[in-house]
Amino acid sequence: MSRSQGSVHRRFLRVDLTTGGVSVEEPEPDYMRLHMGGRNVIAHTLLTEVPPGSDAFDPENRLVFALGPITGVSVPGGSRHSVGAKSPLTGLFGESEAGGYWGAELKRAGWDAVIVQGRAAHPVYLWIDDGVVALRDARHLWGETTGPVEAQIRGELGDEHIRVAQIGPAGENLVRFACVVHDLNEVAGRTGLGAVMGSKNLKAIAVRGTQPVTAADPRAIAGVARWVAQETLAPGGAHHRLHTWGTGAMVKSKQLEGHLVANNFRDGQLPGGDQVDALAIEASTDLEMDRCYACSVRCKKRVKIDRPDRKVDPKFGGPEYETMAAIGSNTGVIDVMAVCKGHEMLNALGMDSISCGATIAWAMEMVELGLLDERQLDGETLRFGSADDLLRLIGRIARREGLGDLLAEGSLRAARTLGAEAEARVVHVKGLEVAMHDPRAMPEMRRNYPVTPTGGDHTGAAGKRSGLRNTVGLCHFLQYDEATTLTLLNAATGWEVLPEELHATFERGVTMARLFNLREGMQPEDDRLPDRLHQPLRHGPLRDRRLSRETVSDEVRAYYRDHGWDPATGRPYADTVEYLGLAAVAEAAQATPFVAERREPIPAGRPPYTPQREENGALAE
Amino acid sequence: MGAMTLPLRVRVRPYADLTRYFPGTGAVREVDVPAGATIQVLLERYGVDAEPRLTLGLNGELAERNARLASGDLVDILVPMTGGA
Ligand code: SF4
Repeated sequence: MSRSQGSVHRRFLRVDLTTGGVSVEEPEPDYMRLHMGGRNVIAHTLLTEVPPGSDAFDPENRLVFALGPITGVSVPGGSRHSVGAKSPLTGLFGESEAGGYWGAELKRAGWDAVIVQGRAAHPVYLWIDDGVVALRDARHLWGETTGPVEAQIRGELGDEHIRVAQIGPAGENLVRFACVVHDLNEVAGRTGLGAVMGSKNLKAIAVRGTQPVTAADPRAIAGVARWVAQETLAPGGAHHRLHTWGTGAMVKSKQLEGHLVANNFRDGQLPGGDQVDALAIEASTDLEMDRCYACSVRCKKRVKIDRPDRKVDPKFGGPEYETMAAIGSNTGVIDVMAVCKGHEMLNALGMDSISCGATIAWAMEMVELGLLDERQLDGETLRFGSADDLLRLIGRIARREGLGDLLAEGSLRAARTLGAEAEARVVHVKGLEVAMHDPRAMPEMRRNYPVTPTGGDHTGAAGKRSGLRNTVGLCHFLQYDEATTLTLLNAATGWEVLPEELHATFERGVTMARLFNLREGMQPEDDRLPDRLHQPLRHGPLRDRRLSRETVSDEVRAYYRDHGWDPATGRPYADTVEYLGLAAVAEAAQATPFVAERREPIPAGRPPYTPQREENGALAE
Repeated sequence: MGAMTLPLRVRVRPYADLTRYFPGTGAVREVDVPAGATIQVLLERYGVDAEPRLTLGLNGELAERNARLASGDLVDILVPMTGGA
């Protein structure tokens, strides 16, 4: 594209499914540098375009696929993009990331984002062939699982290299934790974005891009790529473990320390619970490692199992740690083959493994307590530790059959139909089921879950490191320090961004997401952990430890303060909004009532938030 | 009994890449440490103490580095999982 400045095209594709219209949008020249990509573009779009109080399934909701400036650049980790919408699970800011190849392909096709609005009269899919875009009939694909759909789309468009983002039957059936599946194994899992896509009658977005992504300084990019490939993959190197086993090689450490997520977050240890880990997958399946676009780390599992009752097709990838725990130990299941099978089913049907596993675990506890009656159970047996119950229910949730119909609403909505006792046992933040790291033992998660705009999300990026990785389109696993991230951004774009500016970009993202959530009715008391996580664990070394509510609320207030928000209400201060260049956005979004006035002005020349360093540590391997 | 101290034979189970610190193959490996040794002595002897963070188990229970070893003990050696967001 002649318009490109380095790796950014400044071209958004707008698709109105109600009218069938597609158009090219060129954001204002300073927009891309101000917002960069990922969460910031999503938050800006949702704030300024989604009418306040709309239902997530209203055609006016927007479904945004936003790349970052580094997405598609030929460097390890340059594969990520983010998908967002108002969430049908939380009713708030919804967003989730994926890697793989789809985002890079969209960049190669000449786009920085796709914004979808409206609802098609019948199922369609979007075909992006470089700069040529068409909506095509998808009625013949509706009801199909992801595997056959990808093959069918590639077949009918006559190109095996097409990359497909799609929903499975779960998204069609508006399962509130349905996900968007890319390349069959890379999912934007959290917050129910697949259901939003389903509500729009959009089955898939197929992309083919043939233009190389240019970087402003290819030599700097190549230098970083060389460092990863030549110095970090050997034993002892920064990426060696991920390179060899992917995520989940150290699950046993959680078991020993006593915070393995088990039996709906009641138990920190589970006999055999550590048998579902990356080492067991290596030992008991036909495992190969695969990669995302341009990434020499190659941490993606491809699991093949030939056993007749647990046949698993490697094209669906393999379980990451979160999935291992969500449908493994948290449901009491310790059968690694069953977990691999469950993972395949989730990717074929298009559901988030964390919310699905957590909802099933909650339902298992409800059965134990007798809180689900015969009619609701509809013949279903549901016992902690039963792989057969687990696998059967995954299928029934996606098809909304029997008890599956209730659970397809997510654990919080399901619980509210059963009463207070049931609701008290839901492990969620803001309606999003909590990810598989126990904040009773992990301070970084204790600080993260309550304030992450998406809810109980470990990648939800309340912190600077994850927040910026999301925005620039860089994988969380790469052990780049802050300076290297900045080097990559500038080498990709040619922008000469300074650390302070990059920090402001992060603040802009969290503040916009905050304004969206406040406008959509979130209260400061929603920034909390659920009851269960304030109760002691039943087993293991942490069984006497209690996490106090004061600890969490103090940390939440500190988070508000650090970000230039009112510590009492969590509302961004007007000077913060102004400093970040968001005053007009807040006005256009009807969000000014949720902006607070600071009593004591901050000293001149100081930003209204606290500059932070990136916290150490990648997301859990 | 004199002052002679016979070495102690214990079993170690290093996870994933931590196997590189120990001779031999297989998930569980036998190693010798001086009588009266703690886990810390074992870690130092095999260079594992170079790892910035470790989670240790002794016969299936979480253990500290100063735990004293006895013949036949099984020591699990892992790196804790992080979740920095
Ligand atoms: S580290 Fe793993 S998840 Fe991240 S880009 Fe590379 S292969 Fe993909």
